[in-house]
Amino acid sequence: MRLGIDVGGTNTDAVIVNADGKLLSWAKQLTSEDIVTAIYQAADTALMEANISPKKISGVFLGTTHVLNALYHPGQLAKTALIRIVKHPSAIVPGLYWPEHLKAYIKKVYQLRTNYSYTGKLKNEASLIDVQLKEMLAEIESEGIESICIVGAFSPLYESEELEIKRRIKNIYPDLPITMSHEIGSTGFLERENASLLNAVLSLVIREAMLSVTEVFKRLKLECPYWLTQNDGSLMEINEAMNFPILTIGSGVTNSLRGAAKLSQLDRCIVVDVGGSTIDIGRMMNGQPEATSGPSTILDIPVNVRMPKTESLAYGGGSLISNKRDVIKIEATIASDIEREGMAWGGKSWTLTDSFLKVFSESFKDEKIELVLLDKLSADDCYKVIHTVSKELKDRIARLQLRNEELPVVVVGGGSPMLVGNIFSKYDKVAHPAGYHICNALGACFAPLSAEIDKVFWLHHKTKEEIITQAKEMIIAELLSKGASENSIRISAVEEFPFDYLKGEVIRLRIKGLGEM
Amino acid sequence: MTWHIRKTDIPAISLGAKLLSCGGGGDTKSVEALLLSIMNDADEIEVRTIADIKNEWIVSVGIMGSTVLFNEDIPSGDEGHQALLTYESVSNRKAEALISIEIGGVNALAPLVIAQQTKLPVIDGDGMGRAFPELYMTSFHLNRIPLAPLSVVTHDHKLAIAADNDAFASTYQAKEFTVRNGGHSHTIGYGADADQMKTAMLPGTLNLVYRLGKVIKNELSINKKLNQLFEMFDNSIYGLPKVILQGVLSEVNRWFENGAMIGKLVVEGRSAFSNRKVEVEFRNEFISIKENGYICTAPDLVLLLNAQNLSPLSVVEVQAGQSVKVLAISAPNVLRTTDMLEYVGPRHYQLPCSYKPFNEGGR
Repeated sequence: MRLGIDVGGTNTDAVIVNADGKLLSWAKQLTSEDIVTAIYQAADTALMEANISPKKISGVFLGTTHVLNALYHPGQLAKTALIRIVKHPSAIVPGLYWPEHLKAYIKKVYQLRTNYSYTGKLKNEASLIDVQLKEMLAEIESEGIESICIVGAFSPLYESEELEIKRRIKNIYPDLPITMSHEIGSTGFLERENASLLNAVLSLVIREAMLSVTEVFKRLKLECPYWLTQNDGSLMEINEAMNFPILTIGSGVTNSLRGAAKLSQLDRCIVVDVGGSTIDIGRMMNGQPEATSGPSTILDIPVNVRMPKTESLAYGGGSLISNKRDVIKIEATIASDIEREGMAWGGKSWTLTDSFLKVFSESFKDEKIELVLLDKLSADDCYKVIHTVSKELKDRIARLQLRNEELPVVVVGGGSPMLVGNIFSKYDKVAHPAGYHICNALGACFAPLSAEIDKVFWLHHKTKEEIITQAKEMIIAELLSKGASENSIRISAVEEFPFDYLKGEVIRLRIKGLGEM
Repeated sequence: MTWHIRKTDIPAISLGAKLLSCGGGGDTKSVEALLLSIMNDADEIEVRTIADIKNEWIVSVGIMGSTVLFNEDIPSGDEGHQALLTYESVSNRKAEALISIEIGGVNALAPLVIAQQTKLPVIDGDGMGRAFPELYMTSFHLNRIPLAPLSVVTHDHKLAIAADNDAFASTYQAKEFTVRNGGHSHTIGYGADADQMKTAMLPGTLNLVYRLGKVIKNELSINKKLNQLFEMFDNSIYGLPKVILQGVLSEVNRWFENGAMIGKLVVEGRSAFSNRKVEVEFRNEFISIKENGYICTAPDLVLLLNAQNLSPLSVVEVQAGQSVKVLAISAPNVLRTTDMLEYVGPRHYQLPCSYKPFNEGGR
């Protein structure tokens, strides 16, 4: 049996499903500031309701937006030192496109001289690196550095310098979190540097969160592996995830996509997740959530890590509505607890949900709602809000539709009831599966194991096919060691990337495998 | 009229340059990042239009080589200046103004770095009007400005090509040297006096990319943006653009041949364009549009724009599933002359057709 947990901005959900995928119980809590209090309560309740012993749980599957939120509300971010290993020190300033509040965490920049070019090792000037390293190691303590980020030019081809520098730092500071760029992204120095730096500044947040989560699971007597879902929708063990926060910041959204597909039993569909602060739209193709394959951005910062390929409307059920000189606007701010602040619940804030309730009184069945409280709202104004939401949402959905096949739309999330009968007509192919409110926690339970190789290879005396075969074998071995059942393993993608080499034969390959536990 | 470029203008110039690059021209992001790093808010780069070029010695600036390697091997920032010093010593002439060799892509920004460092003025124009793959494919060459003396500078090495080499020999040497020394380089050549440069250059292109970039960055509706872009092209040395098709990229095939990225893609029409489809071929840049035969080929411009925000897509970025607009724009007249077509027409790109000018711009 599996325990799935989703820590969202508003609610923390826990579900228990049996080996056949049947839902045995679920529980919901308001997300607590420390995240773990709510996790404990939700998980404990779910276990009690299902009336099973924690020993019977074979795995805990967690999804959370906690790490992503840390980028918006910094406080626990790590003071980071960047070590570039480059041909010549570059005048390009790191963190160029970063918002100021994040940039402040890039405390020191060191530029060491690489001994590599794209054709391999050039010369051995270890002594030079030694001198620079010595100075740097001394400063780590005096500057209060909490995290290190190493980015070497050409490290997707040659990772040895990044490894060597990490080793030297570990010798002296064994507990300092160290990010190496070749483990984060592929070619494109500046995007890889951005992604690696974001990973480094998040390294304390995720460590703290995952250590306390682990402690809670132990307290619940859950003696099984603990997993976190990553940006591409597959699983990473919590111990490993602690080193790769940037690869898990999209875990909430991918779980909702997978949960929607599972609940509706549609493995090709467009998913609309209506949350309190955003509406996320994404696509499931052949049972897997789509992820970006090219350049992407996090907070408008260019990065080259895979992110869930979703679009978000910057508002959700809790968004506040304003009317200034007859201009109706959906504001960026949200009501923190709609059941206290929303007008229909007796509060003072006019929210998106109130607008729907005014026009479509059957939107929500909640006994705490008193529709008379909405009398002072103008129905026309509320129509305008609904019209905006409807148009923007349908636009996004139309873009995701395929030419030869109309994909069904699955609407999930706590706010989904207000959209279903109202924005969509009965002629649209729309599903609103039971369990829509615990979709993310459920989705986490069904995430697959994955292994991926994204590297630049020189062909030398081998053929491309030989290299692909070798890489596939490595992936299968990795999946087996993670606990995938042998017959469930499949190579899900083999991609070759254009590399405008000038001399010699070099290719970048990305090969990915999936397996079920 | 002389105008000035400030730090805040750089992203717009970068984006507009990408638009005119027709999908090639290298990647602007490293040099954009470099400029944003070395410029202060108060800095201004002086730009002279064709009308106010003084009696001065003008040299053209460019970056060449592999885009992937250039993006990995970030610049120190001093390469262009080193290329300038090398040029000055081989030519025995002091550079007094800088011009871009190629306005499409990264080379629109290359002279700005040196201008920021040396306070030399930049001339508003270039030698290609778009992006082309070889150093000799310029209006400078067409108008008999010699490419050499030419300097080529990589991270660790410098090459000076003397004046007695013709444009083809110089291009070949520069490429060979670049390949052997890290895969990318900064070059300076095509030195000319003001009169020669005025006849040879494509004028006003730096200002055009700046304005185009600003429009694309604007938060306007797609239709308004498109109208403004059309208007800008209409009042330029280019022709009026035409949206050939709007639709979804259904197929992209890419491969390498002799160091060039070659391939084709298919766009299937949507809404007003449904039941139509076009094929676009590329060879470093987008070079043709086919719909029952060729309807537009190089040197006329073929652009692919992201249909949601009109930002240009490169041959590396195009992916199946994207929704795009395919645009054709007639090239400036100088690129369509018989002599120039020999270098930049369909034959050069091994297209099985002769050049038919694209003249059907309009909405």
